[in-house]
Amino acid sequence: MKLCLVVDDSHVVRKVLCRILEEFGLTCEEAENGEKAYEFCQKIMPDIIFLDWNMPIMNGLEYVEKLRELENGDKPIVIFCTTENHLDQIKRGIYAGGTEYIMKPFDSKIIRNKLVQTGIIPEDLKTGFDE
Amino acid sequence: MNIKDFDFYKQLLRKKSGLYLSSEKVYLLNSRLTPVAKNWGFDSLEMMTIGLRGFPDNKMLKDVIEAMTFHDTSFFREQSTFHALRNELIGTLLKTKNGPRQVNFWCAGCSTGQEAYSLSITLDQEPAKQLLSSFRVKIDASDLSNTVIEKAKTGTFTQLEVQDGMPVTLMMEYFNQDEKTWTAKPKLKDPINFFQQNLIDNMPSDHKYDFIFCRYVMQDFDYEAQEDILRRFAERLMPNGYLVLGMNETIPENISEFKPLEKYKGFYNLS
Repeated sequence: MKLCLVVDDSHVVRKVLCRILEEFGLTCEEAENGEKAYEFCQKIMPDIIFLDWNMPIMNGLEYVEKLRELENGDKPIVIFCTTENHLDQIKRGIYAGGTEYIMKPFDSKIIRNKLVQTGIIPEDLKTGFDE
Repeated sequence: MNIKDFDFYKQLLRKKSGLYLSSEKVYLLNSRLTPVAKNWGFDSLEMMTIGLRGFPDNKMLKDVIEAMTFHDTSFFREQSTFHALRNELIGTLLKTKNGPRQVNFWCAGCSTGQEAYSLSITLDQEPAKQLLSSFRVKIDASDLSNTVIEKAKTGTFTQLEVQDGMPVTLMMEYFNQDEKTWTAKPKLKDPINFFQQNLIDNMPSDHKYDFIFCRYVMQDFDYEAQEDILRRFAERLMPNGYLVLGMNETIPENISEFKPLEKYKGFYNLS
């Protein structure tokens, strides 16, 4: 089972994301900022990371740069999931080490498609979201 | 909506467009048709239904049918189809191609354009791009509904639409941002010709196509219309061309015009 770390300072957003990701068969852990996420990754490297941008202590951009320097830090698929929705910001996020990018608001279909694109789940996966 | 009225709309849709309305869609009809009733100055949907039964106005009928057509679409739906096209089938097609150096696509039932733009992006990616460099690429894209065709032509998508199925790197490369919307760059739009067309009517021209994409469109038609449409596709396909359906779709047994490609799910050759 694939391990997903959900990094967001909003408790509600973390819960919503985990609820969706678990439906796609992922195991979820949570972190409330980049620093907590970094500490987590030093112990266990997740397969996939859902990452907010604006967070206190350490933001998503700083975190992904530091993550990519860790041993095996190049392995996880990092999907930014943020209200930052300007093309320049998106480019910054991707150049800093993000694999994919979701602009909030999102829905489960968008998340599903991103998981398929990045090879996390198969195209024909059946879930509770399919009627 | 009561059953009698639902049946009325179901028959209407079937007669006018060949589309099949399943009973699960009943809950959608109210929300789809109420705005149409308001637009035509009726106090309620019930009043419009009475009006339609009595004196059906052709323009009103057209609005009603458009509103009942359901458009579920996203970019790069079933990405392995686009992968197969880009990496394999363009190459296979070009090896056998004689005559004019032109490759023609038809995106039949293109909805708001996501499928046609996905196609346009795919053909601009390697190795397809290099292979096609000395060919002219044309993408005809049609839909029953004028409203969706007008939207498709703009190439403008909301934030929610643009990221539905679109890898971020492709969005960065092929779209311009304008506040909250994203618009396809001219090089994506240039090869595409959008037009209104009902699949059960005759095509406005006698073009032949190398690829006909018609994914998850047929399921909305009744059985008879499906057969009719598939036979028309067979007439419209070049001898070495491909019909492309959804990976979970099947062709009715008594249609012998097509044979599936074993290696690539959803792709069919002429028999």
